This record gives sequence, structure tokens and C-alpha cells, in this order.
Amino acid sequence: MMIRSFALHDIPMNNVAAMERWYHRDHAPEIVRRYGPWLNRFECCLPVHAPTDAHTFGFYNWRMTEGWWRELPEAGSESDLCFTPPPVWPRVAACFVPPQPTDSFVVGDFLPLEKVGFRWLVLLRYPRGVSYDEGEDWFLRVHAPEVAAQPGLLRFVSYRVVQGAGNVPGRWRPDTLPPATQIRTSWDRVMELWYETFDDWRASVAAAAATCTRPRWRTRDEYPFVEPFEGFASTFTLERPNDDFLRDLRGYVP
Amino acid sequence: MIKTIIFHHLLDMNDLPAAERWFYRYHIPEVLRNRPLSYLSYRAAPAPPGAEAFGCFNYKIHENLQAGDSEARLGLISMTPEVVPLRVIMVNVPATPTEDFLGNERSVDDKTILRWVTVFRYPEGVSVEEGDTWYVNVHAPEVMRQPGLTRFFSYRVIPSQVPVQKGVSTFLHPQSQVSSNWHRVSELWYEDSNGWVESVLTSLPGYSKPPWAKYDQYPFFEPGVDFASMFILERPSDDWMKTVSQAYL
Repeated sequence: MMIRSFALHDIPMNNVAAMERWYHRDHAPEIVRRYGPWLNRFECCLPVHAPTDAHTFGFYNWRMTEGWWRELPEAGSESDLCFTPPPVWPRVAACFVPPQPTDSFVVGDFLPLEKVGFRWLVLLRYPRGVSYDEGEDWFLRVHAPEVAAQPGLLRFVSYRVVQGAGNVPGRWRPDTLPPATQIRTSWDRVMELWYETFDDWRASVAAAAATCTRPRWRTRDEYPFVEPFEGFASTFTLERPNDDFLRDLRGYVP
Repeated sequence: MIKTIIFHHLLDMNDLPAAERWFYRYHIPEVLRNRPLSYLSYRAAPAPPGAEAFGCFNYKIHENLQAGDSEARLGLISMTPEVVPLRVIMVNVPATPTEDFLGNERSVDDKTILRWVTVFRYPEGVSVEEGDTWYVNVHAPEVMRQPGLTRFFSYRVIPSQVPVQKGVSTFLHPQSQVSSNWHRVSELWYEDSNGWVESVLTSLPGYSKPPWAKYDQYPFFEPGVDFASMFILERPSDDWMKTVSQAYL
């Protein structure tokens, strides 16, 4: 069954030149060559330079990678070659979701060219000690309807994260393993919110901060009620991906 | 062979989604009607801290190679008008640098590359010859002493800009500003943002101010007025001839 992956990356911007080179020369071709047969789509969006106030919402500043998998290959055995490690380890927030949204709160009743905008992609995790059902009950019955009423929100869909799907395939050499604290794969929900402008986004978030009901289990009083990066990761992208790797890259080392 | 270098700056970042769509759906295919030899786009990389004071443009650089500086533009109908206002600097230069000051012996794996692309013009009353004499003989050797500089070259702008102005005037947004009266494009490369900060902000090599300078500090051109710049990476964000079909009309 098809499954979709989102991976948000955050890096020290001083290293962006080295990281871009690594991703294009090493990492993406290695994925294309080894896992291309399982992948139907493998794209990256570079985040839009977000306004400073967006940085308080767990903003991931580098590539958002999206994979559409026909099915997931095995995680990777010792007979596979290892991935080339990056010059610095990015902070990564990643999860698997069904290919289509599981919930639609503001439907996009417009033609593609009638409006233009950007996507605010959010990964949400309920705090430790909150059952999945309790978190979902708040999200679906309380939070999402309140968010849907925000002014300026063009489109709002959400995906229930597929629990226990594992990690994206591939392996790192044992002496180059990424620090465990850098990788966050345990998420509960993905939200995709579309706005025409950053001014609209700002107005919507201000409305959310003023009107959204705070859950009993919140870890902070301010919207979004959970800790940035720990429970709330986000990035902003435009409508067109910057890279279509299956089309553009020719990995050759198996 | 001519290289056209175009700096783009969004007057309002809110316009980014609309600008991207206009470029991708309309402008790029229409430019491709003119059969460039290559057509690349470099999105602005985040500027190092402190670089905002150097006339930083916020959007992207287009680089377009063509066989000649022809006035005749192909295409049977007008170009689709810009949908948002932009500040644009558009200059023609030779395909290869006119001065290569530093680092051409380097190969790609020696260092990572953060490109600082700068464009400037000498103040009114200063001839290009006078300005270039200072730039090439006095200033460039001083710049080469920047501690983090890895590569440095420059293009003298080809002065005939009539086709540039004429070619774009028909589709401009009413609030857009396009200029082509600039004298040089220089590229300075650093390994990373820290390399730029060290070279330009914290460990200045000591510069000789030109007698005609109207701006007292490096780079001796008023930022945002006579000096503009953008940071880009080594690989273009878009190689349009690979990814977009040309417009048919």
C-alpha cells in the first residue's frame, strides 16, 4: 500500500553550502539509485525565508523532503553500502502518513490559478502522558474547527501519522551514526495550512493565539500549547518543489 | 557570446508566491523563445549576519548565456506582464570574467562555496576608466588580502544597454524599477558565512579609499544605491532548459 513520508531538516545556516553540495552530490543520488524502484515521487522544497516571528513555531530552516513510496523496502541490511554522511548532522523531524489527507477542514473550493499561496506544514506530537485518543479527541473536535475559522486560511487538511511504520530505509556506517537527539520520528499529526501571504499567516496565528481553546494537558499556555521542536515542528514552502530527484538525478553506485 | 546577469529583489516578501508562479508559468517559457544557450536561476541563500547593510537583494539571480546581443526578440505575442513589483538590475557582460584576481587554480572539492555576487557603479562624474584604474590596480589587490576569500573575479559591464531596457519595458509592473547603468559585476567566494563575516566585518585588511568616494567605508559605494549584492550557492536552483518547455508563440 502506498505511503508518504515528510522529512523536515534544520541546519546551522553557516553550513548551507556544504549541506547543499552533500545532498545533491551524495545523498539524493544514493536514495535514487537504491530506492528508486520503490519510490513514485521524491521531491524537495526549500523553505521560504520565514518572518522572524515564525521561528518561534519550531521552524525548520532547510529542505522539506517528500517521498511517495509504492511500498517501503526493508530498512537496510549490512550488505548495503552505507550512506555518505553529511558535513554536519541536521536536526530532522520525519514521519509517514497516508498518501491522501485523512481529514479536510477547509476545502480548497477554488481552481489552482484563482489563488496563489504557500503551505505551512506542521508536525504535531501530543505530550508524553497524553493518550493518542485523548489528543485526537481534542484535535478533531476542538482545535481543528477553531483553526478552520481563522481569517485568511485558504486550505486546511491533516494527516493522521502512520504509527509504527519505522524509519526511512538506508543505513549509516556505525562510526558515523547521527546523534539520536537530532532525529525526531514520533509524531501524531501533520497539518497543512495554506495562506496567500505572510500577513494572512500572521493574522491567522494571532487569531489562533487569541481564540483557540487550550487543552488540559498543554505544556505551555501560549499557542500552539506544546513545546516548539519537541511537540511542534513546521516549515513554509511554495507550491512548486525545487527538486524532482527521480527526474533529475542519475545515481549509479548500487 | 554574452552573459546577461539579472538581480531580482521583491519589494514586498508577501509577493513571493505570486512572483514564483509568474516566473514559472509565464516568464521563463517566454524567455526560452529567444533560444538562449543556457538559462539558470539562483535563489538567494540566507545572507550572513551583518550582510544586510551591503545592499542585499532578497530574491534571485538569473543568468542567461546567448550567442549575441541581438535586438530582435523572437516570439509572436507580447510577454505576460509582471504580476508583482520588483527591483531589477540587468546587465550584460562577457561570458567569461574580464579580470580573474584570485583562486582559479582551485578545484571544486577544495572548499565549499558561498558566492557573494556584487554589482556596482562609479559615482556620477567618475569615468569608467578612472574608476576601473582604482578598482583593478588598488582595490582588488587589497581585497585579495581578506582572510577568508577563496575566489575573486570580475566582469566589466558591456555598456550598450539599449536592448536591455527596450526588451523589458513592455511587460514591467507599474511599480517595478529596472536599471542597467552599472559598471561592474564582481564575485567573491567564501567557504561559508563565517568566512564572509571574518573577511568583511571583523578582520578588514585595510583599504585605500578612492578620492571620489561618496561613501566612507568599504565597499566605498553607497549600499542599495550604487552597490547591490546577493549570496548564492554553487548549484542553480533551476536549470530552466532542462525543466521547462519554451512557449510556442
